[in-house]
Order: sequence, then C-alpha cells, then structure tokens
Amino acid sequence: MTADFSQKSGLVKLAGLTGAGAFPGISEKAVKTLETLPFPDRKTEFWKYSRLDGVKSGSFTVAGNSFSLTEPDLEAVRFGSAETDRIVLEDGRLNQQMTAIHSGSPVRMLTPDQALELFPGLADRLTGGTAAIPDYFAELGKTSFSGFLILFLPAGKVQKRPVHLISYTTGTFSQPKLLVLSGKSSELTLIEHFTGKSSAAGFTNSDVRFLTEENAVVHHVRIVDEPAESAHIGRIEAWMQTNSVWNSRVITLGGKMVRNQITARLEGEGANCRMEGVYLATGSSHAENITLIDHQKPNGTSQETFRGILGGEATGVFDGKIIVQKGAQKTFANQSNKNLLLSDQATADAKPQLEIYADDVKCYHGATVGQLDETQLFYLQSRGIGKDMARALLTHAFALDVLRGIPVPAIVTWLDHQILDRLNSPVHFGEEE
Amino acid sequence: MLSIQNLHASVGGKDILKGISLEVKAGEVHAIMGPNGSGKSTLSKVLAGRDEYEVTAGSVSYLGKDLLDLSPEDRAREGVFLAFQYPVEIPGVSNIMFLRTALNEIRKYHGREPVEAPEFLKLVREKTRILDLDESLLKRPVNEGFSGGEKKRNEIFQMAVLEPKLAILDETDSGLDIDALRAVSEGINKLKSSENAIIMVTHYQRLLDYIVPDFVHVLLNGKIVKSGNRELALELEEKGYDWIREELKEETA
Ligand SMILES: Nc1ncnc2c1ncn2[C@@H]1O[C@H](COP(=O)(O)OP(=O)(O)O)[C@@H](O)[C@H]1O
Ligand SMILES: [Mg+2]
Repeated sequence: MTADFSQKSGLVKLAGLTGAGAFPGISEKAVKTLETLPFPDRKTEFWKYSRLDGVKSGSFTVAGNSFSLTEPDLEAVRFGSAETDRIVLEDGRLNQQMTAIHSGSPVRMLTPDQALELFPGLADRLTGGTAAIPDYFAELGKTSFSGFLILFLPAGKVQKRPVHLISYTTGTFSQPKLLVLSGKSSELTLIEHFTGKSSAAGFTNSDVRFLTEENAVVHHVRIVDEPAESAHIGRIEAWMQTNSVWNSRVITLGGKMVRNQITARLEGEGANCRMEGVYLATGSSHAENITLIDHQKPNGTSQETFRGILGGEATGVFDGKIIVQKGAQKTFANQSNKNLLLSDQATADAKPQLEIYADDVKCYHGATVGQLDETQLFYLQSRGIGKDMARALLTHAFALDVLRGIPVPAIVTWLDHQILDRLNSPVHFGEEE
Repeated sequence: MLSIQNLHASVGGKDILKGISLEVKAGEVHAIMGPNGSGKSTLSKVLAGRDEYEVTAGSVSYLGKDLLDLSPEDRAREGVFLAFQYPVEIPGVSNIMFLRTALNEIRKYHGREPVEAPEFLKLVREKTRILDLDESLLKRPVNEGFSGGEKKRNEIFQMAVLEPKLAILDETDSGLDIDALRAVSEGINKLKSSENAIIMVTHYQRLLDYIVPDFVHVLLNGKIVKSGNRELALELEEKGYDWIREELKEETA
C-alpha cells in the first residue's frame, strides 16, 4: 500500500482504514474534513515557513502487518547504563517483540475502551483539534488507520525507571500516536525517541497527548532524530489539571524537515509547565517549533526556553504564543528563545506572541539571533584552547542550558555528545565533579 | 625573551599603537603605566593575538619565534598569558572544566599526556589556597556573576595553574581591596623566577609595593615616551603625567 500526497482520493481511502487502538467515531469526521482541505502551501499562514515540497511530491509506502526490527537496529539509541522500560513502535505500530516493560513497573497499557471508562471526557478532547482552524495534517492524524498507544499511570504511582518509547521509521509514511494518562499525584518520566534507518526517506505525522490529573508530575523528553532525508510533523498537547507539573523538552537533532507543534493547556489552577527545546539543524534541513501555552486558570506558571543551533544553510523557526485567559490571574509566564548561527547562510526566525487578557500577571519574553561571541572565543583561545574546540565549547554551553534540566543524567550526556558529534566537534566535554 | 620593535597597530582605521619598542628578558618585571586611552590594553591584546587589531608595522619576537605569526592559542601554548583587564563571562562552561581543558590543550601541544583528575584537583586546591579563592567559584560558570575582585583573582588563579613564561597583567590591581591585592600579589610573586617574565600594566604604583619592577615605562598616546626604574613610578604617582607631556613638548620644540 502507498500514501501518495499528490492524490487526495487515495489518501482519503487510506485514512478510512481502521487499525488497532483507534477511538470510535473520530476518524469518520476527520476523513470528511480532510476531503475539503487543500494540501497546505506557502500561502497557508500556519505552514508558511515549513518546507513541505518533499512530502507533497512524495509517494510513501505504508507498513503492512509485518515487523523487521532487530536488536542491533536499536543499539544506537541506548543511553549508556541508564535502565529504562522500553516500548518500540515500528512505523507507528507497536512492536510487541521489542517491547520490554519491567514486571514491577506501575505503568500500564490500555485499550481505547478501558481509557474511555477511566476518563470519560477523553473522546471529546480527541475530536477537538490543536488549532481552531482545521489543519490538514492534524485531521490526517485523527484518521484511524493508526490508533493510539495508551499509557496509564494509576494515581499515586511513581514510575521510577524512565519509559523509553522508540518510534522507528523504516522509511514509510506512519502516524505514531500516543496518549499518556497520568493519575492524581503520579510521577512519570517518558523519553520519546523518533529515529529510523539512516537511509530512510519517510514521513512521520505524529500525535501525542498528555492528560495530567491533579498533582501529577510528568517529565517528558522527546528526541527527534529522524533520518537525514525524512520529514517529521509532531503535535504534542498536554491537558494539565490543578497543580500538575508537565516538564517537556523537545530536542531536535535530525530530519530534513522537522516541525514540532507543542501545546500546553493549563486547565487547572496552579499548574506548572516547563516547555523547553533545543533544535539543531545543519546542511539544508529545516527545524521548526510552534508552541502554545494557554493559561486558563489562576496561579499557573510557565517557563519556556528554546535554543536553536543552526549551521550550513539550515533554517530554524520558533513561533511561540502565550495566552493568559481572563480568569488566569497571578500567572507567571516567561519565554526565551535564543538562536546561534554557525554559518553565514543559516537563518533563524523568531516570532514570540503574547496575548494577555488578565491584569494581574507577570509575563516576559525575549528572543535573540546571533553568532558565537568573538570576545568569548578569544578568551578561550588565549588560554590555549584551539579555535575549533573553543567553538564547540561555547556551542555545547549554549545547548546545555536546556539539556541540564533533564532529570536523567545519562540522557543529558548522550544528547550532549550527539550534538557535538553532529557539529563535528573535536571533543566531548564532561561535567566535572 | 620578548623583543618588540616599532610596533604599530590600528583598529577600524584608527592608529592606536604608534611605534612601540620594548625588550623584556627572562627574570625581569616590567611595569607599563600611562593615562586612560593611551593604548595599554591594546598592546596587551595585540601581544595575546586579538585579531580585531591590525598590526600595520613592526615586529615581535618571542623566544626566537615570530609572535605575530602564531594563533592566539599557540601563543598561549608557548607560554604567553594575558590577565584581562575585563575578564570575559562564559555562561554554561564551568570554571574548572574550562581550566582543565586549557591545561590539557597546552600539555598536548608539548606532547604530554592529559592531567589525571586527582592530580589536577590537587593542583587546583593548592592554587586556590594561595589566592584565597573560594572553592565554590570553581564549579560556577567562568566569571559569570563573579564580583570584580573575584574576576581578577580568577585570572591570576588561571595563571597560577597554567604557569606561563610571559605573563601580561592588564590592570589586575584595579578594583581590588587590600586583602585581595595581597593575595593576588602573592600569586604573581610565586610565578616569578629567573626563567619567567612579567609585564604589569597599571595605573597606580600600589601594586608595585608588592611586586617590585625592574623597569617602569610610560605609555602615552601609543608610544613609550619614558623608561626608568621604580623611582619613576613614585614620581608618576606624585606628579601625574603632565610633566612628561611638558618634557616631550620641550624636546620636540
Ligand atoms: N576595539 C576598539 N575599537 C575602537 N577603538 C578602540 C578599540 N580598542 C581600543 N580603542 C581605542 O584605542 C585607544 C586605546 O585604548 P586602550 O588600549 O584600551 O587604552 P588603555 O588600556 O591604555 O586605557 C582608546 O582611545 C580606545 O578608545
Ligand atoms: Mg586598559
């Protein structure tokens, strides 16, 4: 089977198929909407920076029922000695064989029926979109030929071992979908890892939703490390209840066209959101982060930090919107976006937007685009550190600002090394004791 | 050790150094004094290899090598050290990691193995004690949020660890209280030997009470206009620079 984006009818037919983990009643509506929507192009406001040409002209195979991954394929995505519970999605489908959750781990997988029973409002949430205006890829994502993997952490439980969810593409069109349901006062660390065969030229259109009940804590890390010729669109949305904490870090390392749409809705009072990211793009690739933090209730806080590292002829985009709704008094929101251009041909766009409808709030934002600081470079060189190493050291420091907040040290080190390797750094720098 | 001949340097088309000549031998301490804007920091940075300054004429030979031909990092590896007048903050890089990287780069250049962690720690502890530097500063990012005095101490601390042959200290004494001045002076004096040389740029002769110079030079408007011994520093302290300007006028008249 193939997905051909230049031919709507075939795509719609594909979308009508039902796979495992699909919620009833959502797909039909999405298929109808999809029929009315044109493929987005540069004139579509929401997509004007994205480079979709590769997707539009592409014809992708769609995975059938068989699995091909073996252990050596996943060797490269191990974080040193860190012990994890591993879940593997191969081309968007759960690969049971490669999945290993410790028997003592409290995290569970649910069917849609089980999830709806525990969380009755879920169906409505899933029908609603992340954007007010119907969006082509969001609607495509709702169609049920790929269903949700549903993770549930019961109230009061702490998942000590990080859950490492590997989403692997062999070069197909796939729609990995994940729903994370965190019960009251539970605590979860989840690392999502998008990767694939290095030769793959696939397209991933992914959806992930978090529902954090009262006092729940979620540490979320997403590593987008798609093969160099692959495209990736990922929508993340968190529905945060009273006093819950959602700390999210989205680290973009690879992919021809990567677009992360990250939304946090602080629906309960006193919710606390940290939304951070590093986006590294080199060569002719494109990395884009479109974020929305929606403060709906009083006493919420959000800390948003994104760092772009752009080399070659790469383009980076940060579009960050913060909304403080009328009732959301005493909101604290801070947004920062900094971009480091490592070459003259690289570009970065920063578009911060604040919409504030409450009067007793503290909101800050700032965005910068710049090169490595010559004075700092000279200072390092004047101590005997060579120019290449000095550049690497400063770039490392720039990314580390975000990375060091990740609560699993082995992952911080792994990411740090990955970033330096991709920038052809001559060395790694360890954190000193 | 260092021989500067008729050095001219400019930035953005503006001439700043206008023919500096200076001989520094191993074991010597030279003080360079002069009013604000006379070119002291420019001279220091040109010697350390800051490329925003263009050398338009002259030559500098250091231990028999053409210094101006070396990259800034190679100058450092050959033993040149500049203590910055305004030390640079480097967020995200810990002081200790920075220093260890620097030391290992210098060792590598000389074909030596990297320093082992315990040995390095021992070295660092010893030097922090000499400089009375709070050990907590080691883990903090380089100079970030340091007080003025801490930054200056940190420069001398780095110097103490890297053990250069030629140390150029650009107003290391300014902004230091008397205790800090004493600690910093001790650090500098520890480095002094018959094989090393020190060039101290200063406004005041205060530092010279602690580190006695063999020569004192007056830099005025990009030129060394007068050289002498320790007495000259005292005279400058007392009378300022105007009498030298007067002297110069008489000479040219
Ligand atoms: N990067 C620069 N760009 C422009 N002018 C400079 C620069 N660096 C120094 N100057 C100028 O050169 C002169 C000498 O400066 P400097 O060497 O810092 O003097 P000093 O250290 O003796 O006070 C001053 O007039 C200063 O403004
Ligand atoms: Mg100066």
